[in-house]
Amino acid sequence: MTDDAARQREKVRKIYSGDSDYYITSTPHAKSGSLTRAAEILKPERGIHLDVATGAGHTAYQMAPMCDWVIPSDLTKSMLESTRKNGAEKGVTNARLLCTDAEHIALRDCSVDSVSVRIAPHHFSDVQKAIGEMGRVLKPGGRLVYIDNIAPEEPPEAKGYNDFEALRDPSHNRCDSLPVLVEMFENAGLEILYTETMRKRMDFEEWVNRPHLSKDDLDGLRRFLAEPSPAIRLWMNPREEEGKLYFDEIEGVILARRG
Amino acid sequence: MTIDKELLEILACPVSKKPLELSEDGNFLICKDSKLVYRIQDDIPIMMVDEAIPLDEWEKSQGKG
Repeated sequence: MTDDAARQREKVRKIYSGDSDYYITSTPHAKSGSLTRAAEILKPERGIHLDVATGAGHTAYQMAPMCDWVIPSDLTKSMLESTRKNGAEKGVTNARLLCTDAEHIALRDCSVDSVSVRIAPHHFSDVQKAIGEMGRVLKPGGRLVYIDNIAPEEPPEAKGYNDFEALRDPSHNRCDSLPVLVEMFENAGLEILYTETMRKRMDFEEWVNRPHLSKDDLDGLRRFLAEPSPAIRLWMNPREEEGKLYFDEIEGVILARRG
Repeated sequence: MTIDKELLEILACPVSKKPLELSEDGNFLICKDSKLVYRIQDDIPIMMVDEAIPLDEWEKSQGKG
Protein backbone atom coordinates (compact mmCIF):
# COMPACT_ATOMS: atom_id res chain seq x y z
CA MET A 1 0.00 0.00 0.00
CA THR A 2 1.39 3.44 -0.93
CA ASP A 3 1.61 6.33 1.52
CA ASP A 4 -0.96 8.23 -0.56
CA ALA A 5 -3.40 5.30 -0.36
CA ALA A 6 -2.88 5.00 3.40
CA ARG A 7 -3.41 8.76 3.89
CA GLN A 8 -6.60 8.67 1.79
CA ARG A 9 -7.91 5.71 3.79
CA GLU A 10 -7.28 7.54 7.07
CA LYS A 11 -9.18 10.60 5.82
CA VAL A 12 -12.17 8.40 4.98
CA ARG A 13 -12.02 6.62 8.32
CA LYS A 14 -11.79 9.89 10.24
CA ILE A 15 -14.80 11.44 8.51
CA TYR A 16 -17.00 8.33 8.48
CA SER A 17 -16.13 7.08 11.96
CA GLY A 18 -17.36 10.32 13.52
CA ASP A 19 -20.38 10.79 11.31
CA SER A 20 -21.62 7.34 10.31
CA ASP A 21 -25.28 7.63 11.39
CA TYR A 22 -25.60 10.77 9.20
CA TYR A 23 -25.60 8.44 6.18
CA ILE A 24 -28.67 6.51 7.36
CA THR A 25 -30.86 9.54 6.58
CA SER A 26 -28.67 11.62 4.20
CA THR A 27 -30.94 12.50 1.25
CA PRO A 28 -28.49 11.83 -1.63
CA HIS A 29 -27.60 8.42 -0.15
CA ALA A 30 -30.99 7.29 1.19
CA LYS A 31 -33.46 8.85 -1.24
CA SER A 32 -31.91 9.94 -4.56
CA GLY A 33 -33.20 8.52 -7.84
CA SER A 34 -29.99 6.59 -8.41
CA LEU A 35 -30.84 4.26 -5.51
CA THR A 36 -33.83 2.68 -7.23
CA ARG A 37 -32.13 3.12 -10.63
CA ALA A 38 -29.22 0.93 -9.48
CA ALA A 39 -31.57 -1.99 -8.85
CA GLU A 40 -33.62 -1.35 -12.01
CA ILE A 41 -30.51 -1.45 -14.19
CA LEU A 42 -28.70 -4.31 -12.49
CA LYS A 43 -31.78 -6.51 -11.94
CA PRO A 44 -30.01 -9.17 -9.86
CA GLU A 45 -31.71 -12.55 -10.04
CA ARG A 46 -30.93 -14.42 -6.83
CA GLY A 47 -27.29 -15.30 -6.12
CA ILE A 48 -24.76 -13.42 -4.01
CA HIS A 49 -24.55 -9.64 -4.32
CA LEU A 50 -21.62 -7.51 -3.12
CA ASP A 51 -22.10 -3.80 -2.39
CA VAL A 52 -18.73 -2.04 -2.18
CA ALA A 53 -18.22 0.96 0.15
CA THR A 54 -21.79 0.47 1.30
CA GLY A 55 -21.99 3.32 3.82
CA ALA A 56 -25.28 2.85 5.66
CA GLY A 57 -26.14 -0.01 3.28
CA HIS A 58 -28.88 1.67 1.23
CA THR A 59 -27.84 0.11 -2.10
CA ALA A 60 -27.20 -3.32 -0.58
CA TYR A 61 -30.63 -3.32 1.05
CA GLN A 62 -32.25 -2.19 -2.20
CA MET A 63 -30.77 -5.30 -3.85
CA ALA A 64 -31.44 -7.67 -0.91
CA PRO A 65 -35.02 -8.76 -1.84
CA MET A 66 -33.78 -9.84 -5.30
CA CYS A 67 -30.80 -11.86 -4.06
CA ASP A 68 -30.16 -14.99 -2.02
CA TRP A 69 -27.92 -12.88 0.19
CA VAL A 70 -26.00 -9.63 0.06
CA ILE A 71 -22.63 -8.47 1.37
CA PRO A 72 -22.63 -4.83 2.45
CA SER A 73 -18.91 -4.01 2.69
CA ASP A 74 -17.07 -0.98 3.96
CA LEU A 75 -13.58 -0.15 5.19
CA THR A 76 -14.87 1.45 8.39
CA LYS A 77 -16.10 -0.78 11.20
CA SER A 78 -18.11 2.03 12.82
CA MET A 79 -19.83 2.68 9.48
CA LEU A 80 -20.82 -1.01 9.40
CA GLU A 81 -22.46 -0.59 12.80
CA SER A 82 -24.71 2.04 11.16
CA THR A 83 -25.21 -0.36 8.24
CA ARG A 84 -26.37 -3.03 10.69
CA LYS A 85 -28.69 -0.60 12.47
CA ASN A 86 -30.19 0.54 9.13
CA GLY A 87 -30.67 -3.10 8.04
CA ALA A 88 -32.43 -3.98 11.31
CA GLU A 89 -34.77 -0.99 10.91
CA LYS A 90 -35.61 -2.15 7.37
CA GLY A 91 -36.09 -5.76 8.47
CA VAL A 92 -33.33 -7.12 6.19
CA THR A 93 -32.34 -10.66 7.22
CA ASN A 94 -30.11 -11.82 4.33
CA ALA A 95 -27.08 -9.53 4.78
CA ARG A 96 -23.57 -10.57 5.91
CA LEU A 97 -21.40 -7.57 6.78
CA LEU A 98 -17.76 -7.41 5.69
CA CYS A 99 -15.05 -4.91 6.57
CA THR A 100 -12.84 -4.63 3.51
CA ASP A 101 -11.58 -1.91 1.22
CA ALA A 102 -12.37 -1.49 -2.44
CA GLU A 103 -8.79 -1.78 -3.65
CA HIS A 104 -8.16 -5.09 -1.79
CA ILE A 105 -11.49 -6.92 -1.68
CA ALA A 106 -11.32 -9.88 0.72
CA LEU A 107 -13.28 -12.30 -1.48
CA ARG A 108 -12.14 -15.13 -3.74
CA ASP A 109 -11.99 -14.81 -7.51
CA CYS A 110 -15.35 -15.40 -9.27
CA SER A 111 -17.26 -15.61 -5.97
CA VAL A 112 -20.25 -13.25 -6.43
CA ASP A 113 -23.02 -12.92 -9.02
CA SER A 114 -23.38 -9.15 -9.01
CA VAL A 115 -21.67 -6.06 -7.62
CA SER A 116 -22.77 -2.49 -6.96
CA VAL A 117 -20.96 0.63 -5.90
CA ARG A 118 -22.83 3.88 -5.48
CA ILE A 119 -21.76 7.43 -4.51
CA ALA A 120 -18.45 6.16 -3.12
CA PRO A 121 -15.62 5.80 -5.67
CA HIS A 122 -14.76 9.51 -5.35
CA HIS A 123 -13.32 8.54 -1.94
CA PHE A 124 -11.13 5.75 -3.33
CA SER A 125 -7.38 6.21 -3.58
CA ASP A 126 -7.20 4.16 -6.79
CA VAL A 127 -10.44 3.82 -8.77
CA GLN A 128 -8.79 1.78 -11.54
CA LYS A 129 -7.59 -0.79 -9.00
CA ALA A 130 -11.03 -0.92 -7.33
CA ILE A 131 -12.74 -1.56 -10.69
CA GLY A 132 -10.23 -4.35 -11.33
CA GLU A 133 -11.01 -5.88 -7.92
CA MET A 134 -14.78 -5.70 -8.48
CA GLY A 135 -14.26 -7.45 -11.83
CA ARG A 136 -12.04 -10.10 -10.22
CA VAL A 137 -14.63 -11.19 -7.65
CA LEU A 138 -17.46 -11.36 -10.22
CA LYS A 139 -18.35 -14.75 -11.70
CA PRO A 140 -18.06 -14.94 -15.50
CA GLY A 141 -21.17 -13.29 -16.91
CA GLY A 142 -21.72 -11.42 -13.63
CA ARG A 143 -22.72 -7.77 -13.76
CA LEU A 144 -21.59 -4.63 -12.01
CA VAL A 145 -23.46 -1.36 -11.61
CA TYR A 146 -21.27 1.66 -10.88
CA ILE A 147 -22.84 4.99 -9.91
CA ASP A 148 -20.93 8.04 -8.80
CA ASN A 149 -20.80 11.78 -9.22
CA ILE A 150 -18.83 12.64 -12.34
CA ALA A 151 -16.65 15.64 -13.19
CA PRO A 152 -16.69 17.78 -16.33
CA GLU A 153 -14.39 16.54 -19.10
CA GLU A 154 -12.29 19.73 -19.34
CA PRO A 155 -9.32 19.41 -16.89
CA PRO A 156 -9.51 22.96 -15.39
CA GLU A 157 -13.25 22.61 -14.76
CA ALA A 158 -12.77 19.11 -13.36
CA LYS A 159 -10.15 20.45 -10.97
CA GLY A 160 -12.42 23.31 -9.86
CA TYR A 161 -15.29 20.90 -9.28
CA ASN A 162 -13.10 18.45 -7.33
CA ASP A 163 -11.63 21.26 -5.19
CA PHE A 164 -15.19 22.37 -4.36
CA GLU A 165 -16.14 18.84 -3.29
CA ALA A 166 -12.95 18.39 -1.26
CA LEU A 167 -13.54 21.64 0.61
CA ARG A 168 -16.87 20.28 1.84
CA ASP A 169 -15.58 16.75 2.48
CA PRO A 170 -11.83 16.28 3.10
CA SER A 171 -12.19 12.56 2.32
CA HIS A 172 -13.22 13.39 -1.27
CA ASN A 173 -10.35 12.25 -3.47
CA ARG A 174 -11.43 12.70 -7.10
CA CYS A 175 -14.39 12.44 -9.43
CA ASP A 176 -13.56 11.48 -13.01
CA SER A 177 -15.43 12.20 -16.21
CA LEU A 178 -17.63 9.50 -17.73
CA PRO A 179 -15.25 8.80 -20.67
CA VAL A 180 -12.33 8.35 -18.23
CA LEU A 181 -14.40 5.88 -16.17
CA VAL A 182 -15.45 3.94 -19.25
CA GLU A 183 -11.79 3.60 -20.23
CA MET A 184 -11.00 2.22 -16.75
CA PHE A 185 -13.68 -0.47 -17.16
CA GLU A 186 -12.23 -1.41 -20.53
CA ASN A 187 -8.72 -1.52 -19.03
CA ALA A 188 -10.08 -3.97 -16.42
CA GLY A 189 -11.41 -6.24 -19.17
CA LEU A 190 -15.06 -5.52 -18.39
CA GLU A 191 -17.63 -5.13 -21.14
CA ILE A 192 -19.69 -1.94 -20.97
CA LEU A 193 -23.38 -2.75 -21.45
CA TYR A 194 -24.91 0.64 -20.80
CA THR A 195 -24.16 4.16 -19.59
CA GLU A 196 -26.31 7.12 -18.66
CA THR A 197 -26.12 10.31 -16.65
CA MET A 198 -28.57 11.57 -14.06
CA ARG A 199 -28.89 15.15 -12.85
CA LYS A 200 -29.41 15.40 -9.08
CA ARG A 201 -30.82 18.54 -7.39
CA MET A 202 -28.85 19.45 -4.29
CA ASP A 203 -30.09 21.65 -1.43
CA PHE A 204 -26.97 23.61 -0.47
CA GLU A 205 -27.90 24.10 3.21
CA GLU A 206 -28.64 20.41 3.64
CA TRP A 207 -25.46 19.45 1.75
CA VAL A 208 -23.23 21.56 4.02
CA ASN A 209 -24.91 20.43 7.25
CA ARG A 210 -21.78 18.59 8.38
CA PRO A 211 -20.16 18.91 11.82
CA HIS A 212 -16.60 19.45 10.59
CA LEU A 213 -17.24 22.46 8.32
CA SER A 214 -15.93 25.86 9.44
CA LYS A 215 -17.34 29.29 8.55
CA ASP A 216 -14.39 29.81 6.15
CA ASP A 217 -15.21 26.50 4.43
CA LEU A 218 -18.85 27.54 4.04
CA ASP A 219 -17.84 30.95 2.67
CA GLY A 220 -15.52 29.26 0.15
CA LEU A 221 -18.27 26.90 -1.01
CA ARG A 222 -20.80 29.73 -1.37
CA ARG A 223 -18.23 31.84 -3.28
CA PHE A 224 -17.58 29.00 -5.74
CA LEU A 225 -21.28 28.77 -6.57
CA ALA A 226 -21.74 32.56 -6.63
CA GLU A 227 -18.93 33.11 -9.14
CA PRO A 228 -18.88 30.01 -11.36
CA SER A 229 -16.99 29.77 -14.65
CA PRO A 230 -19.29 29.41 -17.68
CA ALA A 231 -18.61 25.66 -17.86
CA ILE A 232 -19.31 25.15 -14.14
CA ARG A 233 -22.49 27.24 -14.44
CA LEU A 234 -23.64 24.87 -17.17
CA TRP A 235 -22.53 21.76 -15.26
CA MET A 236 -23.82 22.62 -11.78
CA ASN A 237 -26.54 25.18 -12.53
CA PRO A 238 -26.26 27.05 -9.19
CA ARG A 239 -29.50 28.93 -8.54
CA GLU A 240 -31.81 30.38 -5.93
CA GLU A 241 -35.32 29.03 -5.56
CA GLU A 242 -37.60 30.75 -3.07
CA GLY A 243 -34.60 32.23 -1.28
CA LYS A 244 -32.73 28.92 -1.01
CA LEU A 245 -29.53 27.97 -2.82
CA TYR A 246 -29.55 24.87 -5.01
CA PHE A 247 -27.10 23.31 -7.46
CA ASP A 248 -26.87 20.09 -9.44
CA GLU A 249 -24.57 17.10 -9.22
CA ILE A 250 -24.35 14.80 -12.22
CA GLU A 251 -24.19 11.08 -11.53
CA GLY A 252 -22.65 8.74 -14.09
CA VAL A 253 -24.20 5.28 -14.30
CA ILE A 254 -22.27 2.39 -15.82
CA LEU A 255 -23.48 -1.18 -16.22
CA ALA A 256 -20.71 -3.64 -17.10
CA ARG A 257 -20.29 -7.39 -17.42
CA ARG A 258 -17.43 -9.76 -16.82
CA GLY A 259 -16.92 -11.86 -19.97
CA MET B 1 -18.25 -14.83 18.14
CA THR B 2 -19.72 -16.36 15.01
CA ILE B 3 -19.06 -16.03 11.33
CA ASP B 4 -21.54 -17.02 8.69
CA LYS B 5 -20.46 -20.27 7.03
CA GLU B 6 -21.52 -19.19 3.54
CA LEU B 7 -19.51 -16.00 3.85
CA LEU B 8 -16.50 -17.90 5.16
CA GLU B 9 -16.61 -20.13 2.05
CA ILE B 10 -15.95 -17.18 -0.26
CA LEU B 11 -13.74 -15.03 1.97
CA ALA B 12 -10.10 -14.61 0.94
CA CYS B 13 -7.05 -12.89 2.33
CA PRO B 14 -6.92 -9.41 0.75
CA VAL B 15 -3.17 -9.87 0.17
CA SER B 16 -2.80 -13.46 -1.07
CA LYS B 17 -6.43 -13.88 -2.27
CA LYS B 18 -6.21 -17.40 -0.77
CA PRO B 19 -8.85 -19.10 1.45
CA LEU B 20 -8.66 -18.51 5.19
CA GLU B 21 -8.60 -20.82 8.17
CA LEU B 22 -10.90 -20.12 11.13
CA SER B 23 -9.11 -20.18 14.50
CA GLU B 24 -10.24 -22.78 17.06
CA ASP B 25 -11.97 -20.16 19.20
CA GLY B 26 -13.73 -18.72 16.12
CA ASN B 27 -12.36 -15.21 16.75
CA PHE B 28 -9.72 -14.98 14.01
CA LEU B 29 -9.16 -15.78 10.34
CA ILE B 30 -5.70 -17.00 9.46
CA CYS B 31 -3.85 -16.83 6.14
CA LYS B 32 -0.82 -19.12 6.20
CA ASP B 33 0.25 -17.82 2.80
CA SER B 34 0.55 -14.12 3.69
CA LYS B 35 1.23 -14.96 7.37
CA LEU B 36 -1.47 -12.54 8.47
CA VAL B 37 -4.33 -12.97 10.98
CA TYR B 38 -7.60 -11.03 10.81
CA ARG B 39 -9.96 -10.39 13.73
CA ILE B 40 -13.68 -11.12 13.74
CA GLN B 41 -15.36 -8.37 15.74
CA ASP B 42 -19.10 -8.31 16.52
CA ASP B 43 -19.50 -11.07 13.88
CA ILE B 44 -17.84 -8.86 11.22
CA PRO B 45 -14.59 -10.08 9.62
CA ILE B 46 -12.16 -7.13 9.73
CA MET B 47 -10.24 -7.85 6.54
CA MET B 48 -8.06 -4.74 6.54
CA VAL B 49 -4.38 -5.30 5.84
CA ASP B 50 -3.30 -2.45 8.11
CA GLU B 51 -5.28 -3.98 11.00
CA ALA B 52 -4.05 -7.55 10.48
CA ILE B 53 -1.82 -9.22 13.06
CA PRO B 54 1.44 -10.88 11.92
CA LEU B 55 1.01 -14.65 12.26
CA ASP B 56 4.06 -15.16 14.52
CA GLU B 57 2.92 -12.39 16.86
CA TRP B 58 -0.59 -13.85 17.02
CA GLU B 59 0.75 -17.37 17.69
CA LYS B 60 2.79 -16.04 20.62
CA SER B 61 -0.28 -14.29 22.04
CA GLN B 62 -2.17 -17.58 21.80
CA GLY B 63 0.63 -19.47 23.56
CA LYS B 64 1.48 -21.31 20.36
CA GLY B 65 4.80 -19.63 19.52
